[in-house]
Amino acid sequence: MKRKILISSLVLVVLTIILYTFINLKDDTKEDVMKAEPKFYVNAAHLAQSFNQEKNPMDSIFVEDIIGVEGVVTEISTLNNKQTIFLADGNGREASVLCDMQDNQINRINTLKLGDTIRVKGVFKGFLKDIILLNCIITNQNE
Amino acid sequence: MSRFIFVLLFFTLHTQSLEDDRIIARQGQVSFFSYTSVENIKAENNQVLSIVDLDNGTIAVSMLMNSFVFEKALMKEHFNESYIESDVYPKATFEGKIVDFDRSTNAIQTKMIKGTFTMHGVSKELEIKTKIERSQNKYIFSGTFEALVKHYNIKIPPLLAGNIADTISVNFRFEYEPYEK
Repeated sequence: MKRKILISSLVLVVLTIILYTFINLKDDTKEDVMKAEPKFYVNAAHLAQSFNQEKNPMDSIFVEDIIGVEGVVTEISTLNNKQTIFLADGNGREASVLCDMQDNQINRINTLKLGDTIRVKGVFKGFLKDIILLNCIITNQNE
Repeated sequence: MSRFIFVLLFFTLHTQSLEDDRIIARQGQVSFFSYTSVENIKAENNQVLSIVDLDNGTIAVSMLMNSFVFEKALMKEHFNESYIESDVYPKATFEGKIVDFDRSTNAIQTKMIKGTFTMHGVSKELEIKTKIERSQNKYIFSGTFEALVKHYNIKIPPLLAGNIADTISVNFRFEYEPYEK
């Protein structure tokens, strides 16, 4: 009887470990962005302008959604060992979309020049001074 | 005479960018660590906003809590949904003042920054030791401080209590450039 209880307990512990490992998987947000169709595409300048208003309903509605943005590259940054692209309308930096790019985008980023118009998709996180998109990939590029 | 004017103009333009009163960091980095015998948890946010007014030494920091990147999906889920409740409290902020800030020096300064840190709807007065470096037209602020989980009304289920440290170590690094309107 004791042996049965011991074996049952062991099986339970092993199952718990397997279940925990299975659930506690690596964050797969990057793969999701690659595969997913954006909820919508929007112009960077229009998006940034709308967020400069006091309270934008998008701030809470679309948080964590994958959205697409088209805009003019105003800055390419490698700060903090991250590839970041700022998109705006090309008339100053007051209203920008900050796109934190996936590591696998490095070759495409290296071909970019300031003033290029590109489309990206990424996970919408919210708004500080810039609209923040994480895990972005370039979906289209017009020079 | 024209040579003198040229030299004067050169130095005026060269130093003008840091004579502006405000500097901004749009890609500030804040990371935190929790060390326990069960597991180590690390997360990083590279899109933290900060503005400093060099004239009076005031500083403001704002970060989106859901922008912290974790190694594992479950850690991120617990952090946003159970502990920080980032849908209810999407931002953490800090507003403070650099004590005895000297904007005229190019030397590295170590200063205390006193202010109010607000997270998860709870505000706490903090004093943070900060290294301030000035390089050409940039300022770099960096440092470390510790935050007690219980101070911010963060409830951790007893089952997971062993996985999360009581004291979280927070590192920050902000690279500021002149504020452009």
